[in-house]
Amino acid sequence: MKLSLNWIKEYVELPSSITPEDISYNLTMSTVEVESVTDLSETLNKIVVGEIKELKIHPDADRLQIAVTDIGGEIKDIVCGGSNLAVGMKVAVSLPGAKVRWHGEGDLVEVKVTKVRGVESYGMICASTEIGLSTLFPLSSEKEILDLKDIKCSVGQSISEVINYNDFIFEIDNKSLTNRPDLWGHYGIARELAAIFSCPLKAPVLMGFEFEENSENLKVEIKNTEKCLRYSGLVFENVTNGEAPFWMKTRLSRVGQKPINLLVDITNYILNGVGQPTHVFSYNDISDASIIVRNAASGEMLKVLDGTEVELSEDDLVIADSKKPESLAGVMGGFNSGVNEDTKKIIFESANFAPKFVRKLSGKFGIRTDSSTRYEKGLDPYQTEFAARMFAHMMSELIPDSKMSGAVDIFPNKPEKKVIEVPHVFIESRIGQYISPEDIQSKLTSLGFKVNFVEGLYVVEVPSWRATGDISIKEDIVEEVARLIGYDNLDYSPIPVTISKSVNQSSYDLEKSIRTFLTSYGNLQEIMTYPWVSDKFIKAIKQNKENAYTLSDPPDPKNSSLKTSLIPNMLEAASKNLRYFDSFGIFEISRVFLNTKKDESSRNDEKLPFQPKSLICALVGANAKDLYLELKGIVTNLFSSLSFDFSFSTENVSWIANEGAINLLVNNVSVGTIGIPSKQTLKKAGIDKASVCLFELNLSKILPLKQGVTKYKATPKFPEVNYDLALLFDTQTPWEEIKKLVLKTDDLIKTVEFQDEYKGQQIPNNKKSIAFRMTMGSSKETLTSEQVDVAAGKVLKAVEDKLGGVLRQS
Amino acid sequence: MLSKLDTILSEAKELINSANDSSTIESVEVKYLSKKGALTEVLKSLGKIPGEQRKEVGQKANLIKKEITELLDAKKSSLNISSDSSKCNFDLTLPGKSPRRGGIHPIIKEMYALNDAFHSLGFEVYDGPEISSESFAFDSLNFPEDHPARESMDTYWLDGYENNSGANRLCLRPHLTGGSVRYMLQNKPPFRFVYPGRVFRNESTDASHERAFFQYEALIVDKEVPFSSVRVLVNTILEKVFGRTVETRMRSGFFPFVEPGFEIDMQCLVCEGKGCSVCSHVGWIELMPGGPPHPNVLKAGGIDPEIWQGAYINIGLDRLVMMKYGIDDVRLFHSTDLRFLSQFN
Repeated sequence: MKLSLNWIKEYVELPSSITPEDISYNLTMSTVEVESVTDLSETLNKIVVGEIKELKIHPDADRLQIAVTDIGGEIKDIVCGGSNLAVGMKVAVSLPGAKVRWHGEGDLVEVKVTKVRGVESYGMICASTEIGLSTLFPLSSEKEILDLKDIKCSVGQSISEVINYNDFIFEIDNKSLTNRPDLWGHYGIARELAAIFSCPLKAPVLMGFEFEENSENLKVEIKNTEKCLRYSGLVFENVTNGEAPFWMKTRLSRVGQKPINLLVDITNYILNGVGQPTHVFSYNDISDASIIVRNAASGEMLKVLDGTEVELSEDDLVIADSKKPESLAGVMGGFNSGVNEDTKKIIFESANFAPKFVRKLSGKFGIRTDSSTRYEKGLDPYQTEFAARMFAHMMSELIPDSKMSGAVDIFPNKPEKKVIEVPHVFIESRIGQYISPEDIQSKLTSLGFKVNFVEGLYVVEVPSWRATGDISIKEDIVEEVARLIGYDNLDYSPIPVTISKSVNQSSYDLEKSIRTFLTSYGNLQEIMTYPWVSDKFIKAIKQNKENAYTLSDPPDPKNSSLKTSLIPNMLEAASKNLRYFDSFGIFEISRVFLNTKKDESSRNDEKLPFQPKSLICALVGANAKDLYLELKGIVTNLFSSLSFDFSFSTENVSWIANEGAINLLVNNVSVGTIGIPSKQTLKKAGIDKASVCLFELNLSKILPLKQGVTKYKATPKFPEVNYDLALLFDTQTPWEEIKKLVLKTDDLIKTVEFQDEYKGQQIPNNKKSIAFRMTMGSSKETLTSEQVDVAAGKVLKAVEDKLGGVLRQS
Repeated sequence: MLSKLDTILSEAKELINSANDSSTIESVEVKYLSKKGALTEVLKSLGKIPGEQRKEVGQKANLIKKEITELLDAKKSSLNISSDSSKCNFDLTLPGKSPRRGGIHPIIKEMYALNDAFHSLGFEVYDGPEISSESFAFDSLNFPEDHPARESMDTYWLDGYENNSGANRLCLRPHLTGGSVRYMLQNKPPFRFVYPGRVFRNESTDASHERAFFQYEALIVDKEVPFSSVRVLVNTILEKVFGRTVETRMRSGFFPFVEPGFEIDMQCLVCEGKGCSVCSHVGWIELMPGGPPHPNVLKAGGIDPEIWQGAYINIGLDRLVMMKYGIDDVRLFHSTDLRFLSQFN
């Protein structure tokens, strides 16, 4: 919303010491956000009135002329292509240094003394579009120069002075006005400024007269009193509708409102002045002089002002006459009953409609207007009368011959006065500092509240313009006081809090430890992906899409499913990064959304999807086996570092199509899988050349677990002996079985460590050579070579008997 | 044999004396001292020499070996050749080998830093569901039914639930605040906690708008929590993030879930408040809303607003991290692009 400083000053006596910057700052701090302040005269700097003395033909261009122009004491040649140039014409001349927009388009350009087709031109004679005045002076043809003939001005005078543009415009962020319906006009903002700067507010001039329930010239009936809260209507005869006076046109155009004709301009003046939408009907187009506010009949048609034809249903509220709908209530007037230059008799409407329904109506037909925007916020119903009296006064001033011949006001359900009781201590304890009762009373009174202070209690009557939802509880009164003090002027005070329990969050700590380990020791980079998944990657892993929750309005139809597994997004991330890197390691911790059960966080009446946390790690590189062994090493070290009781098992692995996968068991329960996705899966995921190994962990199963406690074990008292063996096994024999067997063969064997695996020319086709190191020791004595040999012999025998392993002949 | 040794010594001396580069020295070393060098050959053949003579030849050969080695070393150091590096057969100026570098996502990293700061102030860290319901996203937060804010917060409703209402209308949470009501329902005041997490909005994206982004929310509920103390909280956060004092200002704002509402701005760090393109020439950057929970919100959380007061603050974490590192596109956080993510390790 745009506000003019001059217009605001019409309603409040601001001391001259207050600058536009002060106003902007104080409004922003206490009331609404001011996005910008523009000095309008600055935009018209060095643009002056010139008078064309003589027109000469340009020697080298048919369409250009040389205008010999008086710019106030100096006569200059200015080259111009305007179609309406004439000797004696008063024009707007941009002198060198002025900023203009060529043909009203593109960026602002500084005017210089230049040669135009060989002839020197001192500045430029402008069209209204070139100096940002097209709202005030609409172009009738493209090459038309702004003609100042009807405007009082003298040669050399600055244009901004001529058209009253010595003004500042505040641009208010409309979002910050959402809860303040009273601020949608200059008068409301003036009221705030009067309170902020403690200076007097001046109400617009109103005309005094009596309203009737019914008049001979106007019958008003509200059939739906839930949607229409009040209707004030006036009838005027002997109207002459022409152009608005220039002061009014320029005032409207400064806040971006295009002048149309006098009657419409007055309604727009009231809209911008006091925030009340009003409308003028042509009296002759309203059948039987009757205004009926009613629900539309299903299928009724209405052509609105902008020419749109809408088909109405019973939910829609219309302003109708005795025959048909004439306007879309609170949103837009009808096309057929509007006023024009010939209108002689009018009905003026100033009404109040319920915010909820106006929003629905405007949303339904996609018509948003200045009127609907204001009604949506909940306007003060007492304001309709205010606006009607303001209109009556303006009519008497601007069309003195006109005569009011009817004034009807229907206000079926007057809202009760809102009174709030607030203890003084309540205000002080919330704000956190001492404030005197006098200060509180004067602040509230300046905003229009009526305050009674008795024995530490304020009895506050809320003004009608703040009572439509904005102010309803005592906290709202605290806010009024605090914002007028200014939040930024409050002291910094310590936070007085009770220490009631220790903060020990083991699952939070565990998740953090896992992240730290994966990044610092696993050298993996954490990534973050959206909660939705692309269909391509769901298909790649042959996931069942039916089990996924989907979005009703997804970012992309192909991204409608929410994660049930972290694999698809991880494969997508891998394929993206393969464009830049050959090998890398990444991980993600995220929730997945499952329909298997109700999430524990659901309140009794909710059934939220189960949303456990999951972890996925990916190593990407050339050789799948290397990736697998590295990842398994990371996982092993991670779980060792957490002191969990864990193991791996190849039994009962059910995972995406793979070329090898192994389960991770913690406390003998499967919690995750390390696996190598199949070539086909990777190919479908757009990964052709690299290998990928993944580790998927159900993090939510891990986080509640207590970490194991690290217990000290004595270092061996007697030296231990290493004993290396290399044996041939069938290629199918798993290392894990060899290890288990060796470990239990003899008590002297403390550890068995894998060293190397070999397959190749040196050994038979279906065999592999496994080299491992046993560490032997005893807590009682130093082992003799005989003891070691006996144990080794037992191992050789056991391995041959149980697993068919034989010494490798070399 | 003894005379042969003398010849070896005198020849070697001469060669060493005349040598003036490392390759010549090396060739002398090879000629006499290597496995097949002249002196080594003598020492190898000791076995074939009869008893007494063997001892004499052996001693002399060892003395000569020592002398030649010393002469070589002296010459090397005079030629400034380090004996170790002369044996190094690779380029010592090659870059060091570093393992693949990992790191925590920049936003999570910042979140942990903030959590640590709040932990030290006795705050708990709470984590709630990402799929929530209209009941928590709006109803509990004093958004009147049909309030424009419900529409302006473009929420991702779940398919098949979008036409339900309340607890049965599921959505990706559009903000964190609803989750704080879950916490309130599960905990008795007084308490204070932070609640970091990701929220989702159905809107078109550009360099400063994203569909998924991080918020960081804190809530204190206690007997007395004046507005003025909120400023202390805000400054705690900013100092932690930026490692220095940051100017802030607190002004009037409107949010349904707080009463009254504040808007907290921080001075633009790019221009130090002078005004630049980053801060739209106002010198301040809108940072976070805050304020005491609206009595209706406390009630929704099962807390009596006549007894308890509170203070919320809610920070856009992405924006803070962007300010901290000068990141100009919010979409990079979800890009999964390692060229971006690895810059913060």
